[in-house]
Amino acid sequence: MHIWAIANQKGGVGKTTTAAALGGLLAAEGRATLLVDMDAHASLSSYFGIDAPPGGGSYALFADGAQRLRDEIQRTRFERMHLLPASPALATIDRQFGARPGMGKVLAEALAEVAGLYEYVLIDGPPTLGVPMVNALAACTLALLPTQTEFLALRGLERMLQTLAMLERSRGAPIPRLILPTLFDARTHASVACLRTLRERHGPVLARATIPADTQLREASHAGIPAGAWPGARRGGDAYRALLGELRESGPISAKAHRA
Amino acid sequence: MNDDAIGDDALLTRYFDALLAPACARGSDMPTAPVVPDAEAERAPVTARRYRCCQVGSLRLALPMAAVAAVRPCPVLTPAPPTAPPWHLGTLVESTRRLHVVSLAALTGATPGPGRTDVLVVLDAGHWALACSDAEAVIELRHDEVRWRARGGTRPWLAGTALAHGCALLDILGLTGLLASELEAMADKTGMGAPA
Ligand SMILES: Nc1ncnc2c1ncn2[C@@H]1O[C@H](COP(=O)(O)OP(=O)(O)OP(=O)(O)O)[C@@H](O)[C@H]1O
Ligand SMILES: [Mg+2]
Repeated sequence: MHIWAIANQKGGVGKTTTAAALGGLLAAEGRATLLVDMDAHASLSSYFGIDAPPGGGSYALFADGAQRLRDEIQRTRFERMHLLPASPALATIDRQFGARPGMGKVLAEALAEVAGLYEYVLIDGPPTLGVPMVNALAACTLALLPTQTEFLALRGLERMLQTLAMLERSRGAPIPRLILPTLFDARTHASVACLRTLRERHGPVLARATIPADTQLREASHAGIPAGAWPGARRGGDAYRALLGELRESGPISAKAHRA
Repeated sequence: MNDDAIGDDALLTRYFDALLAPACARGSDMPTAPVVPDAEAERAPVTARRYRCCQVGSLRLALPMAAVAAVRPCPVLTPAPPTAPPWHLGTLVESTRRLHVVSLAALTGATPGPGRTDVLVVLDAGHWALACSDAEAVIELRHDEVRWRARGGTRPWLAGTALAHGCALLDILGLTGLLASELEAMADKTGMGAPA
Protein backbone atom coordinates (compact mmCIF):
# COMPACT_ATOMS: atom_id res chain seq x y z
CA MET A 1 0.00 0.00 0.00
CA HIS A 2 1.39 3.35 -1.00
CA ILE A 3 0.83 6.05 1.58
CA TRP A 4 1.50 9.56 0.41
CA ALA A 5 1.40 12.40 2.90
CA ILE A 6 0.74 15.70 1.22
CA ALA A 7 2.31 18.11 3.61
CA ASN A 8 3.59 21.61 4.07
CA GLN A 9 3.45 23.76 7.17
CA LYS A 10 2.68 26.69 4.91
CA GLY A 11 -0.96 27.27 4.09
CA GLY A 12 -2.58 27.71 0.71
CA VAL A 13 0.11 25.96 -1.33
CA GLY A 14 -2.21 23.46 -2.99
CA LYS A 15 -2.09 20.48 -0.61
CA THR A 16 -5.81 19.80 -0.68
CA THR A 17 -6.07 20.41 -4.41
CA THR A 18 -3.22 17.95 -4.95
CA ALA A 19 -4.77 15.28 -2.72
CA ALA A 20 -8.10 15.55 -4.55
CA ALA A 21 -6.45 15.56 -7.98
CA LEU A 22 -4.21 12.54 -7.38
CA GLY A 23 -6.99 10.64 -5.61
CA GLY A 24 -9.33 11.28 -8.53
CA LEU A 25 -6.79 10.08 -11.09
CA LEU A 26 -5.93 6.93 -9.16
CA ALA A 27 -9.56 5.97 -8.56
CA ALA A 28 -10.45 6.64 -12.20
CA GLU A 29 -7.65 4.26 -13.15
CA GLY A 30 -9.25 1.54 -11.08
CA ARG A 31 -7.09 1.85 -7.98
CA ALA A 32 -8.81 1.46 -4.63
CA THR A 33 -7.91 4.75 -3.02
CA LEU A 34 -8.43 6.13 0.46
CA LEU A 35 -8.22 9.85 1.09
CA VAL A 36 -7.46 10.84 4.66
CA ASP A 37 -8.32 14.32 5.87
CA MET A 38 -5.98 15.29 8.71
CA ASP A 39 -6.79 18.98 8.66
CA ALA A 40 -9.29 20.33 11.21
CA HIS A 41 -10.50 22.75 8.55
CA ALA A 42 -11.74 19.66 6.70
CA SER A 43 -11.17 21.22 3.27
CA LEU A 44 -10.72 17.86 1.59
CA SER A 45 -13.91 16.54 3.19
CA SER A 46 -15.79 19.63 1.99
CA TYR A 47 -14.25 19.25 -1.44
CA PHE A 48 -16.20 16.00 -1.76
CA GLY A 49 -19.22 17.22 0.19
CA ILE A 50 -18.68 14.90 3.13
CA ASP A 51 -19.05 15.75 6.82
CA ALA A 52 -17.65 13.74 9.67
CA PRO A 53 -20.24 13.02 12.37
CA PRO A 54 -19.56 14.90 15.62
CA GLY A 55 -16.58 13.32 17.29
CA GLY A 56 -16.06 11.09 14.27
CA GLY A 57 -13.77 11.00 11.25
CA SER A 58 -10.02 11.07 11.76
CA TYR A 59 -10.53 12.50 15.26
CA ALA A 60 -12.13 9.22 16.39
CA LEU A 61 -8.85 7.36 15.82
CA PHE A 62 -7.23 9.48 18.51
CA ALA A 63 -10.17 9.62 20.88
CA ASP A 64 -11.31 5.99 20.63
CA GLY A 65 -8.43 4.08 19.09
CA ALA A 66 -7.08 3.11 15.71
CA GLN A 67 -9.69 0.33 15.28
CA ARG A 68 -12.33 2.99 14.69
CA LEU A 69 -11.03 3.53 11.16
CA ARG A 70 -13.37 0.91 9.69
CA ASP A 71 -16.43 2.77 10.96
CA GLU A 72 -15.33 6.20 9.94
CA ILE A 73 -14.44 5.67 6.30
CA GLN A 74 -17.10 7.00 3.93
CA ARG A 75 -17.71 6.56 0.24
CA THR A 76 -17.41 9.52 -2.09
CA ARG A 77 -19.53 9.79 -5.19
CA PHE A 78 -16.52 8.60 -7.16
CA GLU A 79 -16.15 4.89 -7.49
CA ARG A 80 -13.25 3.32 -5.60
CA MET A 81 -12.46 6.57 -3.82
CA HIS A 82 -13.17 6.51 -0.13
CA LEU A 83 -12.60 9.21 2.43
CA LEU A 84 -11.80 9.42 6.09
CA PRO A 85 -13.22 12.88 6.79
CA ALA A 86 -11.97 15.37 9.36
CA SER A 87 -14.04 17.13 11.97
CA PRO A 88 -13.26 20.39 13.77
CA ALA A 89 -12.59 18.36 16.93
CA LEU A 90 -9.29 17.41 15.30
CA ALA A 91 -8.07 20.85 16.31
CA THR A 92 -8.27 19.80 19.95
CA ILE A 93 -6.14 16.68 19.83
CA ASP A 94 -2.89 18.44 20.57
CA ARG A 95 -4.38 19.74 23.78
CA GLN A 96 -6.16 16.52 24.61
CA PHE A 97 -3.62 13.90 23.72
CA GLY A 98 -0.47 15.70 22.54
CA ALA A 99 1.45 14.83 25.66
CA ARG A 100 0.71 11.12 25.50
CA PRO A 101 3.61 8.99 24.23
CA GLY A 102 2.99 7.21 20.97
CA MET A 103 0.23 9.56 19.81
CA GLY A 104 2.19 10.23 16.63
CA LYS A 105 1.71 6.66 15.43
CA VAL A 106 -2.05 6.33 15.65
CA LEU A 107 -2.68 6.86 11.95
CA ALA A 108 0.12 4.49 10.96
CA GLU A 109 -1.41 1.78 13.15
CA ALA A 110 -4.88 2.41 11.79
CA LEU A 111 -3.71 2.27 8.18
CA ALA A 112 -1.90 -1.01 8.76
CA GLU A 113 -5.37 -2.49 9.21
CA VAL A 114 -6.54 -1.49 5.75
CA ALA A 115 -3.49 -2.68 3.86
CA GLY A 116 -5.56 -5.37 2.14
CA LEU A 117 -8.23 -2.97 1.05
CA TYR A 118 -6.57 0.03 -0.55
CA GLU A 119 -3.71 0.37 -2.96
CA TYR A 120 -3.21 4.04 -2.32
CA VAL A 121 -3.74 6.21 0.71
CA LEU A 122 -3.43 9.97 0.29
CA ILE A 123 -3.24 12.05 3.43
CA ASP A 124 -4.10 15.73 3.26
CA GLY A 125 -2.05 17.41 5.97
CA PRO A 126 -2.81 20.58 7.90
CA PRO A 127 -0.79 23.79 7.49
CA THR A 128 0.46 23.56 11.07
CA LEU A 129 2.95 21.44 12.92
CA GLY A 130 1.21 19.29 15.51
CA VAL A 131 -0.14 15.82 16.22
CA PRO A 132 -2.07 15.47 12.91
CA MET A 133 0.95 16.47 10.80
CA VAL A 134 3.29 14.20 12.78
CA ASN A 135 0.84 11.33 12.27
CA ALA A 136 0.71 11.95 8.53
CA LEU A 137 4.49 11.98 8.21
CA ALA A 138 5.01 9.02 10.53
CA ALA A 139 2.57 6.92 8.49
CA CYS A 140 3.69 7.79 4.99
CA THR A 141 5.85 5.96 2.49
CA LEU A 142 6.38 9.26 0.68
CA ALA A 143 6.03 12.90 1.67
CA LEU A 144 4.81 15.03 -1.19
CA LEU A 145 5.57 18.67 -0.47
CA PRO A 146 3.59 21.14 -2.60
CA THR A 147 5.44 24.44 -2.68
CA GLN A 148 4.09 27.60 -4.19
CA THR A 149 6.60 29.11 -6.61
CA GLU A 150 7.05 32.33 -4.69
CA PHE A 151 9.86 33.41 -2.39
CA LEU A 152 7.97 33.43 0.88
CA ALA A 153 6.96 29.87 0.19
CA LEU A 154 10.62 28.87 -0.19
CA ARG A 155 11.24 29.80 3.42
CA GLY A 156 8.24 27.76 4.43
CA LEU A 157 9.68 24.83 2.52
CA GLU A 158 13.01 25.09 4.35
CA ARG A 159 11.16 24.91 7.65
CA MET A 160 9.19 21.92 6.41
CA LEU A 161 12.40 20.15 5.40
CA GLN A 162 13.91 20.80 8.83
CA THR A 163 10.80 19.31 10.40
CA LEU A 164 11.14 16.25 8.15
CA ALA A 165 14.79 15.82 9.10
CA MET A 166 13.97 15.92 12.80
CA LEU A 167 11.06 13.55 12.36
CA GLU A 168 13.25 11.12 10.48
CA ARG A 169 15.55 11.02 13.47
CA SER A 170 12.67 10.37 15.86
CA ARG A 171 11.05 7.85 13.53
CA GLY A 172 14.39 6.14 13.02
CA ALA A 173 13.74 5.75 9.32
CA PRO A 174 14.13 7.97 6.29
CA ILE A 175 11.08 9.62 4.79
CA PRO A 176 11.32 9.74 0.97
CA ARG A 177 10.11 13.06 -0.33
CA LEU A 178 9.24 14.90 -3.49
CA ILE A 179 8.89 18.66 -3.72
CA LEU A 180 6.10 19.73 -6.03
CA PRO A 181 6.16 23.28 -7.42
CA THR A 182 2.61 24.62 -7.51
CA LEU A 183 0.76 27.75 -8.65
CA PHE A 184 3.47 28.29 -11.23
CA ASP A 185 2.99 31.20 -13.58
CA ALA A 186 5.55 31.24 -16.40
CA ARG A 187 4.70 34.87 -17.17
CA THR A 188 5.94 36.22 -13.88
CA HIS A 189 9.59 36.69 -13.11
CA ALA A 190 9.06 35.71 -9.48
CA SER A 191 7.65 32.29 -10.38
CA VAL A 192 10.41 31.54 -12.88
CA ALA A 193 13.20 32.67 -10.57
CA CYS A 194 11.71 30.70 -7.72
CA LEU A 195 11.53 27.52 -9.77
CA ARG A 196 15.19 28.01 -10.70
CA THR A 197 16.13 28.36 -7.05
CA LEU A 198 14.19 25.22 -6.21
CA ARG A 199 16.12 23.34 -8.88
CA GLU A 200 19.46 24.61 -7.63
CA ARG A 201 18.79 23.82 -4.01
CA HIS A 202 16.67 20.70 -4.22
CA GLY A 203 17.17 19.29 -7.72
CA PRO A 204 17.26 15.59 -6.82
CA VAL A 205 14.01 15.68 -4.87
CA LEU A 206 12.19 18.20 -7.06
CA ALA A 207 9.35 16.88 -9.18
CA ARG A 208 9.74 17.32 -12.93
CA ALA A 209 6.05 18.10 -13.11
CA THR A 210 5.11 21.67 -12.25
CA ILE A 211 1.52 22.51 -11.41
CA PRO A 212 0.54 25.71 -13.23
CA ALA A 213 -1.65 28.40 -11.73
CA ASP A 214 -4.93 27.41 -13.32
CA THR A 215 -8.05 29.21 -12.12
CA GLN A 216 -10.08 26.27 -13.36
CA LEU A 217 -8.68 24.24 -10.46
CA ARG A 218 -10.60 26.55 -8.14
CA GLU A 219 -13.73 25.99 -10.22
CA ALA A 220 -13.19 22.25 -10.02
CA SER A 221 -12.98 22.41 -6.24
CA HIS A 222 -16.22 24.42 -6.06
CA ALA A 223 -17.87 21.77 -8.18
CA GLY A 224 -16.42 18.98 -6.02
CA ILE A 225 -14.71 17.37 -9.01
CA PRO A 226 -11.02 16.33 -8.93
CA ALA A 227 -8.81 18.27 -11.36
CA GLY A 228 -8.33 15.41 -13.82
CA ALA A 229 -12.07 14.99 -14.29
CA TRP A 230 -12.89 18.69 -14.67
CA PRO A 231 -13.10 19.49 -18.37
CA GLY A 232 -12.02 23.12 -17.96
CA ALA A 233 -8.86 22.31 -16.00
CA ARG A 234 -6.92 20.82 -18.86
CA ARG A 235 -3.60 22.42 -17.96
CA GLY A 236 -3.90 21.64 -14.29
CA GLY A 237 -5.25 18.17 -14.97
CA ASP A 238 -2.44 17.33 -17.40
CA ALA A 239 0.15 18.53 -14.89
CA TYR A 240 -1.28 16.25 -12.21
CA ARG A 241 -1.32 13.35 -14.66
CA ALA A 242 2.36 13.98 -15.37
CA LEU A 243 3.05 14.08 -11.64
CA LEU A 244 1.31 10.76 -11.12
CA GLY A 245 3.36 9.17 -13.90
CA GLU A 246 6.48 10.45 -12.23
CA LEU A 247 5.45 9.25 -8.79
CA ARG A 248 4.85 5.83 -10.22
CA GLU A 249 8.18 5.45 -11.91
CA SER A 250 10.26 6.74 -9.00
CA GLY A 251 11.97 4.11 -6.86
CA PRO A 252 10.50 4.22 -3.38
CA ILE A 253 6.93 3.81 -4.55
CA SER A 254 7.28 1.39 -7.41
CA ALA A 255 5.07 -1.68 -7.38
CA LYS A 256 8.12 -3.86 -6.73
CA ALA A 257 9.12 -1.98 -3.62
CA HIS A 258 5.53 -2.24 -2.46
CA ARG A 259 5.36 -6.01 -2.82
CA ALA A 260 8.77 -6.62 -1.26
CA MET B 1 13.00 31.39 29.77
CA ASN B 2 14.44 27.96 30.09
CA ASP B 3 12.72 26.67 26.98
CA ASP B 4 14.20 29.43 24.86
CA ALA B 5 17.64 28.53 26.14
CA ILE B 6 17.15 24.93 24.97
CA GLY B 7 16.37 26.08 21.44
CA ASP B 8 13.62 25.29 19.00
CA ASP B 9 15.27 22.24 17.50
CA ALA B 10 15.79 20.52 20.81
CA LEU B 11 12.22 21.28 21.84
CA LEU B 12 10.83 19.92 18.62
CA THR B 13 13.00 16.84 18.75
CA ARG B 14 11.76 16.15 22.26
CA TYR B 15 8.18 16.61 21.04
CA PHE B 16 8.65 14.24 18.09
CA ASP B 17 10.48 11.67 20.21
CA ALA B 18 7.58 11.57 22.63
CA LEU B 19 4.94 11.34 19.92
CA LEU B 20 6.74 8.49 18.21
CA ALA B 21 7.70 6.68 21.40
CA PRO B 22 6.24 3.20 21.98
CA ALA B 23 2.52 3.68 22.33
CA CYS B 24 0.70 3.76 25.61
CA ALA B 25 -2.87 2.71 26.20
CA ARG B 26 -5.52 4.41 24.15
CA GLY B 27 -9.12 4.14 23.17
CA SER B 28 -11.16 2.03 25.56
CA ASP B 29 -8.00 1.28 27.54
CA MET B 30 -7.39 4.95 28.07
CA PRO B 31 -6.94 6.23 31.57
CA THR B 32 -10.19 7.76 32.69
CA ALA B 33 -8.69 10.95 34.08
CA PRO B 34 -10.40 13.94 32.51
CA VAL B 35 -8.03 15.34 29.94
CA VAL B 36 -9.96 18.34 28.71
CA PRO B 37 -11.61 20.63 31.12
CA ASP B 38 -13.77 22.55 28.69
CA ALA B 39 -17.12 21.37 27.42
CA GLU B 40 -16.40 22.42 23.87
CA ALA B 41 -14.06 19.51 23.35
CA GLU B 42 -16.49 16.99 24.80
CA ARG B 43 -17.24 14.30 22.31
CA ALA B 44 -20.79 14.34 21.10
CA PRO B 45 -22.32 10.88 20.75
CA VAL B 46 -21.70 9.34 17.38
CA THR B 47 -24.84 9.28 15.26
CA ALA B 48 -26.38 6.03 14.09
CA ARG B 49 -24.91 4.31 11.05
CA ARG B 50 -26.83 2.37 8.45
CA TYR B 51 -26.04 -1.26 7.86
CA ARG B 52 -27.21 -3.73 5.28
CA CYS B 53 -28.15 -7.15 6.63
CA CYS B 54 -27.15 -10.32 4.81
CA GLN B 55 -28.98 -13.48 5.72
CA VAL B 56 -26.95 -16.70 5.75
CA GLY B 57 -29.10 -19.53 7.07
CA SER B 58 -30.10 -18.45 10.54
CA LEU B 59 -27.19 -16.03 10.79
CA ARG B 60 -27.75 -12.36 10.14
CA LEU B 61 -24.65 -10.41 9.19
CA ALA B 62 -24.67 -6.62 9.06
CA LEU B 63 -22.23 -4.63 7.03
CA PRO B 64 -21.80 -0.87 6.81
CA MET B 65 -23.75 0.66 3.92
CA ALA B 66 -20.67 2.63 3.03
CA ALA B 67 -18.91 -0.60 2.09
CA VAL B 68 -21.61 -1.82 -0.30
CA ALA B 69 -21.53 -0.96 -3.99
CA ALA B 70 -24.48 -3.06 -5.16
CA VAL B 71 -26.84 -5.89 -4.28
CA ARG B 72 -27.92 -8.14 -7.10
CA PRO B 73 -28.76 -11.68 -8.16
CA CYS B 74 -25.83 -14.00 -8.62
CA PRO B 75 -25.09 -14.77 -12.28
CA VAL B 76 -23.35 -17.91 -13.52
CA LEU B 77 -19.80 -17.83 -12.21
CA THR B 78 -16.50 -18.86 -13.66
CA PRO B 79 -15.62 -21.72 -11.30
CA ALA B 80 -12.82 -21.24 -8.79
CA PRO B 81 -9.70 -23.37 -9.26
CA PRO B 82 -9.76 -26.62 -7.25
CA THR B 83 -6.99 -25.31 -5.02
CA ALA B 84 -9.08 -22.29 -4.00
CA PRO B 85 -10.14 -21.84 -0.37
CA PRO B 86 -13.54 -23.40 0.47
CA TRP B 87 -15.23 -20.00 0.64
CA HIS B 88 -14.33 -19.21 -2.95
CA LEU B 89 -17.38 -19.84 -5.14
CA GLY B 90 -15.93 -18.51 -8.38
CA THR B 91 -15.34 -15.27 -10.18
CA LEU B 92 -17.27 -12.93 -12.39
CA VAL B 93 -16.17 -10.03 -14.51
CA GLU B 94 -17.80 -6.69 -13.87
CA SER B 95 -17.25 -3.68 -16.10
CA THR B 96 -13.77 -2.88 -14.86
CA ARG B 97 -12.89 -5.53 -12.33
CA ARG B 98 -12.90 -9.24 -11.71
CA LEU B 99 -14.87 -10.09 -8.59
CA HIS B 100 -14.18 -13.04 -6.35
CA VAL B 101 -17.44 -14.42 -5.01
CA VAL B 102 -17.27 -15.38 -1.36
CA SER B 103 -19.56 -17.85 0.38
CA LEU B 104 -20.39 -16.16 3.67
CA ALA B 105 -21.68 -19.48 4.94
CA ALA B 106 -18.37 -21.24 4.32
CA LEU B 107 -16.40 -18.33 5.68
CA THR B 108 -18.35 -17.91 8.90
CA GLY B 109 -19.18 -21.56 9.45
CA ALA B 110 -22.91 -20.77 9.42
CA THR B 111 -25.27 -23.46 8.19
CA PRO B 112 -26.47 -22.21 4.81
CA GLY B 113 -30.12 -23.14 5.49
CA PRO B 114 -32.69 -24.42 3.03
CA GLY B 115 -32.93 -21.31 0.81
CA ARG B 116 -30.58 -20.69 -2.10
CA THR B 117 -27.63 -18.38 -1.62
CA ASP B 118 -28.13 -16.49 -4.84
CA VAL B 119 -27.86 -12.87 -3.81
CA LEU B 120 -24.59 -11.02 -4.21
CA VAL B 121 -23.50 -8.08 -2.12
CA VAL B 122 -20.74 -6.39 -4.10
CA LEU B 123 -18.25 -4.49 -1.99
CA ASP B 124 -17.26 -1.05 -3.09
CA ALA B 125 -13.51 -1.41 -2.71
CA GLY B 126 -11.32 -4.31 -3.67
CA HIS B 127 -12.68 -7.16 -5.74
CA TRP B 128 -15.15 -9.02 -3.59
CA ALA B 129 -18.79 -10.02 -3.75
CA LEU B 130 -20.45 -11.78 -0.82
CA ALA B 131 -23.01 -14.50 -1.51
CA CYS B 132 -26.01 -14.79 0.82
CA SER B 133 -29.69 -15.69 0.57
CA ASP B 134 -31.17 -12.26 1.21
CA ALA B 135 -29.83 -8.72 1.61
CA GLU B 136 -32.95 -6.60 1.56
CA ALA B 137 -33.01 -5.32 5.13
CA VAL B 138 -31.29 -2.10 6.16
CA ILE B 139 -30.97 -1.25 9.82
CA GLU B 140 -29.61 1.64 11.84
CA LEU B 141 -27.17 0.96 14.62
CA ARG B 142 -25.71 3.29 17.18
CA HIS B 143 -22.13 2.75 18.24
CA ASP B 144 -23.25 1.93 21.78
CA GLU B 145 -25.67 -0.75 20.59
CA VAL B 146 -22.80 -2.87 19.41
CA ARG B 147 -20.64 -5.07 21.53
CA TRP B 148 -17.38 -4.43 19.70
CA ARG B 149 -14.74 -7.12 19.65
CA ALA B 150 -11.07 -6.42 20.02
CA ARG B 151 -9.29 -6.76 16.72
CA GLY B 152 -7.33 -9.84 15.78
CA GLY B 153 -8.24 -13.26 17.07
CA THR B 154 -9.48 -16.20 15.06
CA ARG B 155 -12.35 -14.40 13.35
CA PRO B 156 -10.97 -11.22 11.83
CA TRP B 157 -14.22 -10.83 9.86
CA LEU B 158 -16.24 -10.27 13.02
CA ALA B 159 -16.43 -6.66 14.24
CA GLY B 160 -18.95 -7.24 17.00
CA THR B 161 -22.50 -8.20 17.78
CA ALA B 162 -25.70 -6.20 18.12
CA LEU B 163 -27.87 -8.41 20.29
CA ALA B 164 -30.94 -6.17 20.15
CA HIS B 165 -30.92 -6.52 16.36
CA GLY B 166 -29.96 -10.16 16.38
CA CYS B 167 -27.00 -9.70 14.11
CA ALA B 168 -23.26 -9.97 13.91
CA LEU B 169 -21.35 -7.10 12.38
CA LEU B 170 -18.91 -7.82 9.63
CA ASP B 171 -15.51 -6.20 9.88
CA ILE B 172 -15.03 -5.35 6.24
CA LEU B 173 -11.37 -4.55 6.55
CA GLY B 174 -10.67 -7.66 8.60
CA LEU B 175 -12.73 -9.73 6.19
CA THR B 176 -11.12 -8.51 3.01
CA GLY B 177 -7.68 -8.68 4.60
CA LEU B 178 -8.32 -12.34 5.42
CA LEU B 179 -9.69 -13.12 1.96
CA ALA B 180 -6.78 -11.41 0.22
CA SER B 181 -4.18 -13.20 2.32
CA GLU B 182 -5.80 -16.62 1.72
CA LEU B 183 -5.99 -16.00 -2.01
CA GLU B 184 -2.40 -14.87 -2.04
CA ALA B 185 -1.34 -17.98 -0.11
CA MET B 186 -3.15 -20.08 -2.72
CA ALA B 187 -1.43 -18.20 -5.54
CA ASP B 188 1.95 -18.72 -3.90
CA LYS B 189 1.31 -22.45 -3.52
CA THR B 190 0.11 -23.00 -7.03
CA GLY B 191 2.48 -20.52 -8.64
CA MET B 192 -0.50 -18.62 -10.02
CA GLY B 193 -0.35 -14.85 -10.11
CA ALA B 194 -1.68 -13.03 -7.08
CA PRO B 195 -5.23 -11.74 -7.44
CA ALA B 196 -5.45 -8.55 -9.44
N1 LIG C 1 -2.58 25.28 -9.32
C1 LIG C 1 -3.52 26.11 -8.86
N2 LIG C 1 -3.96 27.13 -9.62
C2 LIG C 1 -4.91 27.98 -9.17
N3 LIG C 1 -5.49 27.88 -7.98
C3 LIG C 1 -5.10 26.89 -7.17
C4 LIG C 1 -4.10 25.95 -7.56
N4 LIG C 1 -3.91 25.08 -6.55
C5 LIG C 1 -4.75 25.45 -5.56
N5 LIG C 1 -5.46 26.55 -5.93
C6 LIG C 1 -6.44 27.28 -5.13
O1 LIG C 1 -5.74 27.89 -4.07
C7 LIG C 1 -6.46 27.79 -2.85
C8 LIG C 1 -5.63 27.01 -1.83
O2 LIG C 1 -5.42 25.70 -2.33
P1 LIG C 1 -5.51 24.43 -1.39
O3 LIG C 1 -6.68 24.51 -0.51
O4 LIG C 1 -5.34 23.24 -2.23
O5 LIG C 1 -4.20 24.67 -0.53
P2 LIG C 1 -3.79 24.02 0.86
O6 LIG C 1 -2.31 23.97 0.90
O7 LIG C 1 -4.51 22.77 1.07
O8 LIG C 1 -4.34 25.11 1.88
P3 LIG C 1 -4.43 24.95 3.48
O9 LIG C 1 -3.02 25.04 3.96
O10 LIG C 1 -5.28 26.11 3.89
O11 LIG C 1 -5.04 23.63 3.77
C9 LIG C 1 -7.76 27.10 -3.21
O12 LIG C 1 -8.73 28.09 -3.44
C10 LIG C 1 -7.46 26.36 -4.50
O13 LIG C 1 -8.60 26.21 -5.31
MG1 LIG D 1 -5.77 22.16 2.67
